[in-house]
Amino acid sequence: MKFKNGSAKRKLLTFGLFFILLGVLAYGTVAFYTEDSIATGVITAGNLDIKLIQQEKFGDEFYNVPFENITGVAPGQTVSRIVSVENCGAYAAYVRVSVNLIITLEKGYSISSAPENPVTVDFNTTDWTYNEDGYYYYNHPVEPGAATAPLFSTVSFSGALGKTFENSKANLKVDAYATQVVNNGANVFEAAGWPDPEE
Amino acid sequence: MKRILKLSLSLALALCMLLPLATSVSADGKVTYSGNSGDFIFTPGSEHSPTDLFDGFKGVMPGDTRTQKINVVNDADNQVKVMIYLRALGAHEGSEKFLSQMTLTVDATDGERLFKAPPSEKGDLTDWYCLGTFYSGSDVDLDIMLEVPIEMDNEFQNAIGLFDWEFKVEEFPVDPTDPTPGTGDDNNTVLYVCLGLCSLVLIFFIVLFKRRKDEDEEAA
Repeated sequence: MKFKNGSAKRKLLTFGLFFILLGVLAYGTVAFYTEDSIATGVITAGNLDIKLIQQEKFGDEFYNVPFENITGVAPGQTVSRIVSVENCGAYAAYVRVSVNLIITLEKGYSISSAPENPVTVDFNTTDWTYNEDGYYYYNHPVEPGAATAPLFSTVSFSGALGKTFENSKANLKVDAYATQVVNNGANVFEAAGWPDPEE
Repeated sequence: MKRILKLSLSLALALCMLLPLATSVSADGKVTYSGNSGDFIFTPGSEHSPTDLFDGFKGVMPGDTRTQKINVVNDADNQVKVMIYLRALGAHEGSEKFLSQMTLTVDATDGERLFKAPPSEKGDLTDWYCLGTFYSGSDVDLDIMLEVPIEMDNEFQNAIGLFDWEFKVEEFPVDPTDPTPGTGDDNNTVLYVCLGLCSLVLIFFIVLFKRRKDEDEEAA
């Protein structure tokens, strides 16, 4: 390309200056530095943690020791078995407990021949309430680190137990369940979300 | 009567002098663009992630509604203004099922809703969202709310969910036509000056009251 006269040079110079000026102006609106960083957010779920406490009085002393199976119980005898539930978690919990008595007789005898109430449990009806669904509900929320009042403290065997119960076994099976207090009804009876016993 | 008046004035004076010391509660999470170092600084962090902004969302229980703020601030020098952007990148592998149980809501200070979805999703923050132009010291708050359904299953006890948010900054030179940059100091200076003046006026009246009382006693 060949410029024929000074007018074209002036036009080219003008356009050149225009574009340089445009470039300078554009510079003011283009970022001269960019950076990006990733923040990793974390959400964690809480949990409930309870522990079934089973103790017995140590002889006639005033302190308790872990409960152990008792053998050779005689009719009319009362044994110590103190059952409560401790909240080991970080959140308040509602607690319910199921208690099932299973008597296994020696071979050849039938349970139908047993006297009424062969075994009696001294349930604490002040702090616990038996419901139609078969559970004993603790009437108060259990705060973290705290424990319930005992559900029962003694188990008594009827004095009327006869030959039928010789060498029999009485298994008092206790299971405890908990559900959260927060966002879960006004009291233990309105609470939902109890664990499934089958799981 | 005079004693009660005097006591009341003293209490009011003490209150006036103490008020300026009160400061607002800081945001739970903080994103700081520090300028020269180039990177963002994320606080407070947690045992699970050093860049964790969600201190308030730990140990959530079914039925919980938790809220917290995230403060985004430009801590760079006065020579630059920055535009800060945010986008969601979704959940880490293995966190999807837990995080998909809940709903996270992010609102800007002006009430604009930026995000409402499970934190495992990208939602409306799939693309970069500009949080604004920040002059040195200026900041914005994001209001964050986490809703956990009461139906959330027992299987999620002790679950941990991780998800990523990405912040991007663009630096621009400050133009002469730009508005005066904020200093980042959001204390109510005028209020405190007024309180200080009130304190001085109270002191003046107490001194005046005492002097008149002394003069009256001398005259008597």
